[in-house]
Amino acid sequence: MKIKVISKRKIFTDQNLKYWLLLPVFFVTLAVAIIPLVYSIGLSFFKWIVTRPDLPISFAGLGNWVYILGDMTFWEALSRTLIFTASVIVIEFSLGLGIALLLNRPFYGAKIILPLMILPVMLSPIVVGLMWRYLYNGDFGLIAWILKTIGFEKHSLLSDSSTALPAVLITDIWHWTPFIFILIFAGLHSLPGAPFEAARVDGATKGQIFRWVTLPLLKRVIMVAILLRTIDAFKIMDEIFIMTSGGPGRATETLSMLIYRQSFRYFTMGKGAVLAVVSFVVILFMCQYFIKFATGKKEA
Amino acid sequence: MKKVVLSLMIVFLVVGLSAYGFAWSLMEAARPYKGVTLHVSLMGGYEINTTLQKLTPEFTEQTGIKVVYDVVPYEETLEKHMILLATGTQAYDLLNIDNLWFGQYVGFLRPINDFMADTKLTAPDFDYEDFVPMMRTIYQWAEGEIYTFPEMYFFPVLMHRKDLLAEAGLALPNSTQEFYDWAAKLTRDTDGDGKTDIYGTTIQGRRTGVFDEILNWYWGAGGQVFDEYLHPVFNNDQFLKKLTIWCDLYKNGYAPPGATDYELGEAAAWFYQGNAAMSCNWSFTATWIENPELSKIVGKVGYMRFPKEDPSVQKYLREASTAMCLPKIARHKEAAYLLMQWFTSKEIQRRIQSEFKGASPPRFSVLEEFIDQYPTFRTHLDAAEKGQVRMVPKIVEWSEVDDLSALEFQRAMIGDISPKKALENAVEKVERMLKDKGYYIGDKKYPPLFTGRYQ
Repeated sequence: MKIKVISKRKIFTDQNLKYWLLLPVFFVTLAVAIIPLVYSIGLSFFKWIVTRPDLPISFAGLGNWVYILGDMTFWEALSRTLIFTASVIVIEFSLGLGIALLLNRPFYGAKIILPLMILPVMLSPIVVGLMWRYLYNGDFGLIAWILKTIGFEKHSLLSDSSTALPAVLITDIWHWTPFIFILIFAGLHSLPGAPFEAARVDGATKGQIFRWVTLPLLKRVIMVAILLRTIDAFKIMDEIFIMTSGGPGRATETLSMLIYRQSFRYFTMGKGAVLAVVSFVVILFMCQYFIKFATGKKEA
Repeated sequence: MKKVVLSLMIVFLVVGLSAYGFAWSLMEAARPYKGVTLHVSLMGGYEINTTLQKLTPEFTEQTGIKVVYDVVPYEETLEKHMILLATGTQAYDLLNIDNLWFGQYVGFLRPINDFMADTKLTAPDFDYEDFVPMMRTIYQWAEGEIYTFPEMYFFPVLMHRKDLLAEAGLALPNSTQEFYDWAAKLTRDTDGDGKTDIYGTTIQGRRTGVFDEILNWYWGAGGQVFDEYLHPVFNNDQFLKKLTIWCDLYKNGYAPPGATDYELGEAAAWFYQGNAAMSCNWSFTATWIENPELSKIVGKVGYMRFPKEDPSVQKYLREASTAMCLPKIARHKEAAYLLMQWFTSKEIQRRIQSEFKGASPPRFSVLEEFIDQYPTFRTHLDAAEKGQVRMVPKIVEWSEVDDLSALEFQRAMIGDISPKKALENAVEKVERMLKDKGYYIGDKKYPPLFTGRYQ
């Protein structure tokens, strides 16, 4: 019988180098992403109540799934999260793109203004949440005072179910628009000059240049920006936890807040895992769609 | 004769020295644990925990046991502890908890009956029976298993501005309806600018405060939360009436507009700043209300038990307490027990009242000793002697029952749904949750301790 001996030279070749370099990343991804994901999916089929150590962890089949999917609270939180995500993405993208186009020219004070523009994104979500909670506070908040001065009757935007979610939305927009801005701004600076030159020579208007030259060239950058923000917006937790804890009532209860409540207030880990898996699946679908859209059609 | 006297003297000397040698002292009890460092998790926001930290150097000096405190915000305590306990992490030797969560902790705690029986560890004059009976019961689980000693004893009281009620010609309210009517009459614009300056009452509209407020009114009217089979039965006219009154206080502007965000601290601050005529709040907040450094209404406040509408009801005041509990996985159990015992001893509890202007002692002897110095102690003592204090139903899932219900009531408060719908939703969700947790097994009945069904 012949035993195939693979020499060391054949293992450590230039062709195999890329795989060796990827190996650490693979193990890290396995440890912090794949294994927890598989564990969560498995956990969603088990009944585990942390505060009942007298009850052993038991197989629940689809019990947790039926419980969660049969609860209107889940569907309301999911639709609320989707509406929130869509709203912030549209507004943040519009504002980020607009500001990037506006500042994409030499202007006096650019070295000071540009860093200040991205200051909000440097703050941690907890700090942002606290800051805006105090701004909205009906007793001493600046925003509440301004609103009362102009005749707005509500005591605090965060105390009313009709204004609480928009108030959180405004906070998120303030926090993350600079992120979209900086990505698009960097993208604009990396665009080649030749297509713009050619368009101008051909007599294209500014609007036509923007629509037929700038946007197509920026497409991949825009997709990355929107994809990253969509994932983050869908998972929003920190600001809501600090500002409203999901209230008043359920007005700002997103899917992440529901996951937190099931897992760390009620300690029903199986149900928390169901919600986490649903969240993952929704994000996965969104990512698939964006990647397909970003890489699918070739330029004419 | 001389020989007899000498013999007697020797006998007395020997007995006296023996007695001295065998007398219990904290120092002697702690000798085997000298040099140990205890890690204790404390809840933030409680004055008693601040006092504990101030007094601890004395404990360390006597025992040689060092104590490191980790103060955790109240809202995060349960979550943080459960994660540690579930993962078996030996982070703390003692956990400071709200008795509301005791059912969730008990599976991870170590009973202390054996330590209490150990004459080397327990002071002979500790006097466990000196604690208010309900305060002893709430920290017991299976028959006779004791898990800790209470640090505090309090319940909600109706605090009222005696001057404002007198000015309006109002006597003390006798019912929830009168309380509402009084709140309406006492809500005033004092400077004529069209804005309310004094609200009739504060209410605690935050999720963690809602159910407790309404429960006192409901229990005082003879209401029950569960039947013998642990089915929720509070979807009735009596609870609906209380819930509607509570919602109307907010909707009609008799409670501060920010009340959806108020818990006990915010409600107390609003009241002692002179912005409300009445307040239903935990009795220990009287410490802040009578503190001239904080309060604008010192000496103007009366404290009473919320009026009960059903005279036949005995137990209706929602008890509350905090305590330090011993996890099974604690590293230094005996040393932790000594700290727990020391802090809840008569001597230290007396000092908390006399030197630190106290909180709400759980001991009869201390309540009696300081009865004239603290305005709520007479009410505390009377309620304890008459057995008027009651626990919430002692099921592990009580926090979840509270949270699920409070959420619906908060929705009614802000006008998202009607109080009737809120009550229906609350009962439906509680029933569904308890069914999922496996409580409804055939015709199984549950004891009064679980269902809360005692008069």
